[in-house]
Amino acid sequence: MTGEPSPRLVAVRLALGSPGLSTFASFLALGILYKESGFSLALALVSTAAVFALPAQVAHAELYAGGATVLAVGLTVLLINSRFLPMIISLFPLVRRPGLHPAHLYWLSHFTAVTSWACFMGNYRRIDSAERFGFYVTLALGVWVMTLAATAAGHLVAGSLGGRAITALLIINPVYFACMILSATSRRPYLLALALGMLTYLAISDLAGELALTVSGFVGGSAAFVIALLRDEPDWREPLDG
Amino acid sequence: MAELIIAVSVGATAFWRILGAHLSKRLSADSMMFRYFSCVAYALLAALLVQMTLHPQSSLADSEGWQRLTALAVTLAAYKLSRSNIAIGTLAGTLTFALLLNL
Repeated sequence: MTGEPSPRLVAVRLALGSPGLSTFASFLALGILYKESGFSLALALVSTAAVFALPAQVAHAELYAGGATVLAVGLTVLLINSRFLPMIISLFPLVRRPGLHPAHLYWLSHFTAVTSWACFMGNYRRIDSAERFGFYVTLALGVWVMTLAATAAGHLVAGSLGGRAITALLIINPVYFACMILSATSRRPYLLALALGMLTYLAISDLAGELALTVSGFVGGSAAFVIALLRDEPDWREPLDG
Repeated sequence: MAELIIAVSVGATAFWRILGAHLSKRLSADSMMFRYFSCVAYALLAALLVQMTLHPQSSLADSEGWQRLTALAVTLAAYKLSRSNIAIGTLAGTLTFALLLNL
């Protein structure tokens, strides 16, 4: 349509706009945390580039500063990042296009995080299916670049901020996360899954320890799925791809 | 040691991403399996949000739980009132939390 911005331009705007800036603020706080925890700038950047998973990076920075073993850190990161499995499974069938070589999905998975996932979910219906791959690649890479810049900026300004300021900045992570998750969908089965995931975690977190996160996801998500099936949700009958 | 921590984190993260990419290769967006994993994804992200707020694994734990929950509530209200503006929601929650920390 005449005057409509191209999907790649929309992706750039998202990466540099409200979602991208919120991501920037979160990783700014992470950069500060890395400095405070004893990571060099180079290592902080390598971590953001190669791990690219904010909650797990916050956890490993704090655990490292607290003297945790490598095994403890690895297990924590493994459990926190289990979310990537269902996130990518629920994303890539919408992203890929006919004729796309499967190898592209493997490298693209590295650049998948909550911001790009949620932005794609909130916008893909407006984008022609043949152009969604290009849209997502631009969006994911744009967000990744923002996080590197933010990590570096945070590491560089860390010395000039006090403990309370750092604590205040760390709230950006969960509050922006909440907005991103809500922006991703308005379909009732998925809103129900959000609610059941929260409730399940609240119910089992004291009992299940480190496994609470993964268990909550699968139990809450399974319950939402079954309820949606039994209720024959109208939202469920609409094609998800279109 | 820090290098080892990062290397382990890279491996622990890549494992899920690559497995997800592999399993998604033949999955149709109209399949029930796709819908199922979408439900699990949303539930897991919601659980993670609760964990980050109630049981933070960072110096955020130095703050009170009610301060974090208030910030989250303000975030959600601001997000809805601003017609789903992520920056406004995030800013409102962050400023609220900063104010509560300094009370």
